Amino acid sequence: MATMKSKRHHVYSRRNLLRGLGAGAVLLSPFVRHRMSLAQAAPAGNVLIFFTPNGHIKDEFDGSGGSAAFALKKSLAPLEPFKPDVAVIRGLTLKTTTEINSHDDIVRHLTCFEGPDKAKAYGPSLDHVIGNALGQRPIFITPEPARHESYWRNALSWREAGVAEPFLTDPTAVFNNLFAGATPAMSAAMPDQTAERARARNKSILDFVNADIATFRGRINGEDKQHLDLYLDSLRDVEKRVTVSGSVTTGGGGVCAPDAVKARIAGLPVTPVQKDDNSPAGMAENLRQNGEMMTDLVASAFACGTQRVATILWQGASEGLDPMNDTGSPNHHSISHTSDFTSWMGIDAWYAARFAYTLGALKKVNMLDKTIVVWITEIAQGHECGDFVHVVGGGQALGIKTGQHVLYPFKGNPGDKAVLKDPANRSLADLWVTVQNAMGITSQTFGDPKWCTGPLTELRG
Amino acid sequence: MSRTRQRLRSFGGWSSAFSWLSATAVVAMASGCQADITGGGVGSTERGPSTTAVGPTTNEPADVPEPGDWFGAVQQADCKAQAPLERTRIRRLSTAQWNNTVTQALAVTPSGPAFPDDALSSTTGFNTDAVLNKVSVLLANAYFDAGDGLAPQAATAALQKYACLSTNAKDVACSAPFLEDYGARLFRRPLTDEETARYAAFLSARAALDPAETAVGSVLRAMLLSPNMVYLTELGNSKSGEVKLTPYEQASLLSYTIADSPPDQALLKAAQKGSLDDASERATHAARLLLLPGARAKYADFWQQYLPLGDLRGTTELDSTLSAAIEDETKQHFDKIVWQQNGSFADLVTAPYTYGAMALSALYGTLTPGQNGALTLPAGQRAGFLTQPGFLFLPATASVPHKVVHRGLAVRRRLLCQSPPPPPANLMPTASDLQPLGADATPLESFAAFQTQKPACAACHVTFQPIGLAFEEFDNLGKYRTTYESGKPIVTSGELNDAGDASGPYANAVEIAQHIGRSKIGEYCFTKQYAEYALGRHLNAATDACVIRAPSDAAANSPIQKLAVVVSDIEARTHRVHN
Repeated sequence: MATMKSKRHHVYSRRNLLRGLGAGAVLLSPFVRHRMSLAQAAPAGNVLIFFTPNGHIKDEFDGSGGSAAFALKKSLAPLEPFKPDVAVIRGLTLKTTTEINSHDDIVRHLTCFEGPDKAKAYGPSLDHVIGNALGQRPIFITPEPARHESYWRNALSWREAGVAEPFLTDPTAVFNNLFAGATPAMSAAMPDQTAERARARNKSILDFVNADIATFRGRINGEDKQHLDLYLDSLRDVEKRVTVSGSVTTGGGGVCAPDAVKARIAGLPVTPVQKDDNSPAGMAENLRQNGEMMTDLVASAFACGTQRVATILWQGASEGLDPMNDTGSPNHHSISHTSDFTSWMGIDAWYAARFAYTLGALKKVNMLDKTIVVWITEIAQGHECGDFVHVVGGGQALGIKTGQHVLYPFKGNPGDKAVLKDPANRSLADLWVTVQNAMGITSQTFGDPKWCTGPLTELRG
Repeated sequence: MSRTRQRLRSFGGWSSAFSWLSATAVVAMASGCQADITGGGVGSTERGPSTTAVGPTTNEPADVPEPGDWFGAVQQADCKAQAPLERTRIRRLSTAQWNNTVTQALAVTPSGPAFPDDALSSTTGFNTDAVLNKVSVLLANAYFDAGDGLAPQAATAALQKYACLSTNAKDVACSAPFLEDYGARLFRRPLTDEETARYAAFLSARAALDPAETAVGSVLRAMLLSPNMVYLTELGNSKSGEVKLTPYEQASLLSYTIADSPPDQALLKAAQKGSLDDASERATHAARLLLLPGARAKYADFWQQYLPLGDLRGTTELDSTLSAAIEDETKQHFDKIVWQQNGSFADLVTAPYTYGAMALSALYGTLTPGQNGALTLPAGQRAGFLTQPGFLFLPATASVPHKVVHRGLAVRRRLLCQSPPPPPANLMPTASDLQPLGADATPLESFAAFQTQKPACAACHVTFQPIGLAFEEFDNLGKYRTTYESGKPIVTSGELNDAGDASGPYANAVEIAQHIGRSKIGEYCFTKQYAEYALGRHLNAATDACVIRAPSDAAANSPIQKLAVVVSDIEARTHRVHN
């Protein structure tokens, strides 16, 4: 009510703008977000790191034929539909291993610095380097860890030397984190079904009210018409706010529809929480659903432009359930040290199907060509960090040349750390230089500069 | 120090009626003080009928001029004859009314952005003007968002009551009972068949696209935005000529005027039966409505807008406890007199006691607790709200002439409904104009000299400045005193002229308050202002005399509570004219 003193001023809060725009609830993330920049000075683009543990049987987890006759080997058969979109790289080598040169080197694969502590990284990981350059925190997800706290086996992502990035494992938390930075303008631009329906609903309500006012008009005194004239004008203003539809292309440039994905979270099987490395049998389907859900959320966030960099660690280094036989962790690790090649290849193929799903999820929201997906593992095959097989997917719009097998012939025994440092063997860091260049970071080195020779020109189209 | 009775020069009696220039509430004063409508003012933040016609004014039915002597016009009016009819109108719900309506109709508490404040009318001084209060852009957005926010909860409740909606919302047989029920709650009247059909079709269309609960919510949102919800109507059957209000309009008039609330079931039933044409039936409902919390809140709102508090907040001269106690006293004094004592205008103006915190003794001196929480004030010093610190307070930076003029004008405008016109536009008065003998002279000495030197100005000033002089026995903070710091006596006696039946000699401010408190002119003026607040339009003594007189005619020392009942009753039974 009015007083003789100053009138209360009505402040329109952003939260109410969001409500009026019909956007879904956007909750604040418990994690502090870096400043978001929608309009990047660098070219648009995203990076998704796809980690599975324990290496592969390289005879079958590989490609051949260069680019002219590119073919996928047996374990990568599930990628056949995406052959034009992938590049298989054979022969890269980690130069900055721990003294162990084994599973522990998960901490080195994305960081590329050496140091005395085998459980520690000595620099930021690739996702953080790129994230920092874009002004945005990367997200680190593991859909179903055998062990739920951070420890060396899942220490893949590092903010800086000595500071490991904690991972998220709850789908709702992942959603909130991915979309916490949404602004009203982005909400307005989200053409997802929920917001579209809300806008259409608002329009129908306002149309009805306008007709209602027209009817009411017939009953009133002529001197009061100005009341209704102003009411109609005011409702036109409301209409502009609550029924405007955003354009299809959004900050990310893809089809932004997070609510549809979010709706599936309720139906997900729940991951058991554990402290040790053992997980029960029969969880493969559980892992598949959770992992694919997280993948879809990330793809959606890429499309909406609320996220640019993500790392998904499917299982921890030196552990892992066996989806081939549907037994629990650490059976994947055990199998990788036996001669049960059938099971091991089955596991490789199962993950290849997940990688294919990832590429499909990105393609569905028109983001594959703008996203560089890299499949990594902490050891190549056995306890050695040389002569790896990496699979790169997507990124064509960023200059990545796919549809080829790239071979960097390895010299010597990768179990020997000295051999790893042989300059004849191509540095893994050069792959990261290639990726960061594609993302607009011009530096020609990644990690320890003395192990960088420059980007993998074969991978640049 | 004895007080000598100072006879002020009094000017001749009333001159002939002055020309009335517009619908502003300028009332001519005694001879010599012309109703000269110009811009500007005396620079005071005075409320009340403004002499400057800024902003739009409420429309009069037939542009009947305001009488020069409003009190005389009211006294002489023949209230057996038919007064000119008001036009039909619509009236947007106030924020309090909207909140009470939604809470009662939907059993949800509205939340969300606050509604913007309504502007003060330049003619009535209140924020309830029916012509001014429209649905602005800000308000429309707030309505929309509020409806969006409470629709889910309201829809859930609706579905619990009308379970068939969850599957058969498209079916009119299922939706009609729901629509008729909720429509009636929100519009305060039964829906027409045409309206029910329209909403049913809308619900059906939405139910094809949305889950039932959402579709029902959309209907409720549309109803909340309907002008039938947002506006009160005084339209009757909307036929050209004289119209009688519908029983539902009568029910709403009583309910919203008295308690800012929609008619409850009992009142709606009476409307349906047609029994609201019976005066005693209306009186029964009115008595019931007075007991609602909305009634007490509404009266408190009126009082807060009526009584100018001055700028207590900004001052550094009082600590915050005392400042809060002063403001609280004005509220408590009114609330207790009206509701605990069932008191009258005379009580408000003449009470030698108050209600409030003991901290006030810093300003009053000794406060003696009396009956029912009342605090008896020092004998002979105080009378009613005119001598409360809340009314009297002026910052130390205010000049002495400003203080005197300010308080005197407040009494003329607020208590006597008379507004001396402002100085002529080309004149820029300063405080020193009112101190021709310099700053050391007492205000009385200054005024005497002023009258001699500037008789043209004094012609108007004599109508209010002497009153302000009587209040000199209260300093800036409202503390009582008998001499100035210089040691010179404070002369408070005088004669109140041209104040209807409050006219006469007085010894001090207390006697002024007593004259006015026991007078008809005071009571009529108070009623007039209350009615302007409650009815949302300016009252003209020529056409609205019988409304202004009605409470006083009904009983001597009419209780303040009765104002709402009497005024709303007149409005409910009186016809309107439709174009």
